[in-house]
Amino acid sequence: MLKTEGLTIRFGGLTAVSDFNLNIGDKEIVGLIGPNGAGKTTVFNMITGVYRPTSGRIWYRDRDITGWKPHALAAAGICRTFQNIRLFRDMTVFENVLVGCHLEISSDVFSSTFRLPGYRKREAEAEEKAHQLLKMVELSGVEDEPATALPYGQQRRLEIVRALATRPSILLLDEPAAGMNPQESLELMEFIRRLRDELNLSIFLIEHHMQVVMGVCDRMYVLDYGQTIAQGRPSEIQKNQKVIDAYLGVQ
Amino acid sequence: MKNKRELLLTAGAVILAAIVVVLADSFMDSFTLRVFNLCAIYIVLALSLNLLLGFTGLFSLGHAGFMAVGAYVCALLTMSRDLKEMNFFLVPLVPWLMNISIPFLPALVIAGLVSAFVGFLIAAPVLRLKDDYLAIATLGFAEIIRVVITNLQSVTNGAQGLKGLPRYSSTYVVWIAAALTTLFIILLMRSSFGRAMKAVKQDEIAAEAMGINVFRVKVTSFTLSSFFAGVGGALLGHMITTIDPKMFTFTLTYNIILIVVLGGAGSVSGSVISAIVVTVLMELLRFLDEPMDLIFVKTSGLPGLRMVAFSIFLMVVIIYRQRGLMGDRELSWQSVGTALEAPRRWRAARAAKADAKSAGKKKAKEGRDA
Repeated sequence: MLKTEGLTIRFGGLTAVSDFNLNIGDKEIVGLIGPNGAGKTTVFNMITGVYRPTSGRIWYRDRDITGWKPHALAAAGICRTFQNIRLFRDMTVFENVLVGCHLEISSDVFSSTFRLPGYRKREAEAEEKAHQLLKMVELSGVEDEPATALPYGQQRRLEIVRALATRPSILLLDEPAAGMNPQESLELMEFIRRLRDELNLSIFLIEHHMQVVMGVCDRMYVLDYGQTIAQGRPSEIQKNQKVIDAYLGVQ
Repeated sequence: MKNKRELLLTAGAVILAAIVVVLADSFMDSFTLRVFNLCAIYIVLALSLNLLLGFTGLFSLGHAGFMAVGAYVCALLTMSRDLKEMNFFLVPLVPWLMNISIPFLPALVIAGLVSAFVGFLIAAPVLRLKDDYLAIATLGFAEIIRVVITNLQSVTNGAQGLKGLPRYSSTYVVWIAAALTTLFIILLMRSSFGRAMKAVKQDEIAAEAMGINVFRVKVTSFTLSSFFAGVGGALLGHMITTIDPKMFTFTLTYNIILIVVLGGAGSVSGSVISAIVVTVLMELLRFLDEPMDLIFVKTSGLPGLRMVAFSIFLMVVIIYRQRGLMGDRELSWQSVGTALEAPRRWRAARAAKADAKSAGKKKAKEGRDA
């Protein structure tokens, strides 16, 4: 479904990511781990169009999407969350999700301002969908609260729901378990599996909590200093000497 | 509109406002009426800037430029041939403009459209910049527009400006324009496009990741804002009946920014209230510029002291209410209700406090007695 070939990006003299080859299949949960500064988020930023790779190609459903803008990628079905939560601060929980529905309402200024018939219908559908999504993640009770009033764990969930509102077929999660306690992390794992099973999503995630990545991922990639040092099933990664060295340091 | 009662209240308020306009038009003396109408024009201008500054988060300092475009286009379209011949005595007007003379309303719309088109052309290069850089670039473009107008004598009559424009900006025209602008902005901000604009303001990266074409939203917002700025400029021109390039300097932009910031960037009602308050105060405070005799101090007239007073006023507001009078909230019937009940609540709170105090005293006394 999503494939990269020799993805490389240089910032000045620094090669942040070099020759990254990714392959994500349908309904697959793939993890990306590595020490701090290994280039994980940079990979995300290249795939979602925030950065343009220096060289290499990105393929999505046999289409070359290298260099596409983030909003075009969202329209194509690639959506993401952020490491440092980026909710719309002055909007309610419900409005945040509605922004995610923007693509479906796809209205120009005039049809939306003057409430032309087609727009009304699409807007009503979007509102209905937003209610449903919020119900799915048990945030129905706080719909009209300001987004920033939610506790941290719920804000993370809201960010994921907002991404789901764009109807993605592949979801990129940047450290979804950051700042969560073990109990919350377990719930998150369960939630990610549900997303895959109920919405038929492919998921690509960056995570530091080993418990979460090992528990939820089908396959994973390990980055260190921009190089892919290992890939495979969680059980294989756990035994990989290079990975252990990268995390614990070599003498 | 949450319920029927609020809808009725709103309808009532609109009718009341309409009655005020009708009464004002028939009973006010010409000076007061002029100030009253100026309020309406500033509402249009403040809302158009708020669209950029408050809703899309674009800090533009180029408003005077778009107003100038609107004012000149409208003036050239409406002036009669004789009037044009009278004005252009140094350099004759280009022939194709000489014979055009159309009614005011279509001219007003065309003025807005031309201004919007100029805004659209400027938007593409300028909106690649952000924050302070955007402000500087728009300021630069506004200056360019002004310099072009000053030097394009065969079209604009240069520094002499255009005099004796027909006074088309009647009370009804300006207030209907203000009402339509307000309605348009309210509808826009409650629509999905308005939501996209707010999203762009609050977090551009997240908005883009949600599939919002950020650049397009910004360009649209800039174009719409230029449209209303052009209409506002045209109304202003036909009210003052004289326009020249010196009118459209940065000071004019500053006045509008003052209104928007005071009222609260991101609040329609804030802009409307603040436009009225500031316009009225500007006239009421005119005595500050004149010679004053304050027993101990005598001033011989300090032109500009008014603006000093305004700057102090602005500072005080910003210190106590960082986001302006209304912040990004709107005036709703609910908030009006709360405000009306404030004195009662205050009295109740004071009574409760007094009770608590006397109870406390009583307790202390009992304690002593024991």
